[in-house]
Amino acid sequence: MHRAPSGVKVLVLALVTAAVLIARDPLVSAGVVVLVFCTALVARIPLLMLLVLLRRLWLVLAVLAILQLILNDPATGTEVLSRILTCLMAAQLLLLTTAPVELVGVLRRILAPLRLLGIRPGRIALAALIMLRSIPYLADSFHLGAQQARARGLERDLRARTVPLLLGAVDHARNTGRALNARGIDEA
Amino acid sequence: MMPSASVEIAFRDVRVLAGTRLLLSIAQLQLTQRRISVIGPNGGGKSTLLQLVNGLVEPTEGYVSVDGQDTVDHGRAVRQQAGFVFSNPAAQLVMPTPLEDVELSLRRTLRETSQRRSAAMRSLDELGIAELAERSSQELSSGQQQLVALATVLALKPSVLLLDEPTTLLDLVNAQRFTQQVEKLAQLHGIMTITATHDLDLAAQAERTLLIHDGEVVADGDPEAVITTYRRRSAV
Repeated sequence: MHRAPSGVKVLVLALVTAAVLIARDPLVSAGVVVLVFCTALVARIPLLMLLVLLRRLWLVLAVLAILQLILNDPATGTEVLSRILTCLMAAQLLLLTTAPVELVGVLRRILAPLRLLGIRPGRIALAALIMLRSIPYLADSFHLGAQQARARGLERDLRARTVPLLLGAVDHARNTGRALNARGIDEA
Repeated sequence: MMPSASVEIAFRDVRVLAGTRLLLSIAQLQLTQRRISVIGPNGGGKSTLLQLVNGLVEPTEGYVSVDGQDTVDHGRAVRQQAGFVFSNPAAQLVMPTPLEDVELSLRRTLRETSQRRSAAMRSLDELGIAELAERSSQELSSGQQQLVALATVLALKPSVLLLDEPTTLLDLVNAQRFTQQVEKLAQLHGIMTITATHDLDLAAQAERTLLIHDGEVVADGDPEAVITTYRRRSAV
C-alpha cells in the first residue's frame, strides 16, 4: 500500500468516494469501511491511527448528527453520517500511506490541463509545498506565543495569543518569498 | 593592492526610499575584493545594500550593476550569478528533504532528473552534509539547515555570494563550521563573498569592510580601521 503509485491511490479514493456518495446505501458504506480496515491491516497500519480521526472530529460529527436528527428521520441521518465517515476513513488511509510531497505531485498532474488556460500547475504545486512546510512552523510559533502570553500572565487574553502568531506568520511568509525569489524559483 | 575577484559590483547615484523614508544612499561604490564585510547597527541599511546587489531590492533612483549587468533590467541573470543566504535557515527551505531542495534550485539549469540528482548530491557532499540528503528538513538543527541553504545556493555555481547575517541564529560551533565552509568553497571556486554581520571577528577577516549607519557608508577600507571606527561610534 505504501509503495503503490500515489496517482492510482488518489484515483481509487475518488472512485470509492463517488461510489459511496452515489449509492446512498449504509450497506455499501459498511462494506467500504470493512474494505478500508482490511487494506489498513494488510498495509500494517494500526486501526487506531484510522480511528483517531473520530476523536479529532467528534465535535463536527456530533453537530452533524444533531442537525440530521432535527431535520431528518434517524434512518436518513444514519445513512448520511455513515457516508461521511466512510469517505473520511478512506481519505485518512490515503494520507497515512502516502508522503505529502507525492500528493503534491499528483495534484500537479491533475492540474496539468490548466496549462492550456495559461495557469502554471508548478506554481500551485509550489504553493502547496510551502503550505505543507509552514504547518510545523506555525504549530511551533503557536506554542511559543502561548508560552510568551503565559509568561506575561496573559494566557486568557485572545489578542496576546493570536497577534504575535499572525505577525510571525506574515514575517515567515515574506522571508520564504524573498528566499525563493533570490533562488529564482517560481514553480515546483 | 588587494587581490581582486573577477567580478565587479558598481553602485551609481543610488537612493532607496520606503515611502519618504531614506533607507540607503550611495553615490559611488565599486566592489571588487574577494572578501568584503559589511557592519553597522541594526536598521542601518546593511540588508538593503546586500539585497540591492542581487536585485531583491530595486533602487528608487540610480543604478546597481554586477559585471556590467543592471540588477533591474537583468534581474534573473544577476540573481543566478549572485547567490543569497539569509539569517533564518527555516524560511529558506521549502522541500521535505535537503536533496529535493537542492534539486529544486537546479530545476532550471539541469533538465535531466538523474543529472540533477547527482549534481545535488555533489553539492551536499562538498559541504560535508551528504548524510543529511534524505533526512526530513524540518528535523535538522538550525546549523544543518543553514548548511543546506548554502548548498541550495552554491549548487548554481554563483560568482558572488551574499550572506546576510548568516550565523546570527547559530551556536558557536555551527557558526564556525558555516564560515569555514564558506571560506573553503569561496577560495576553491573563486567566489566573491559579501557578508553582513555583527560578528566583528568574522568581519575582521575580510579584505575590505564597509560601515553602514543611518543609510550611508560612513567608513570604508581596511577592516581593522573600520571596526575601530565602529567601536568608537558605538561607545555608550
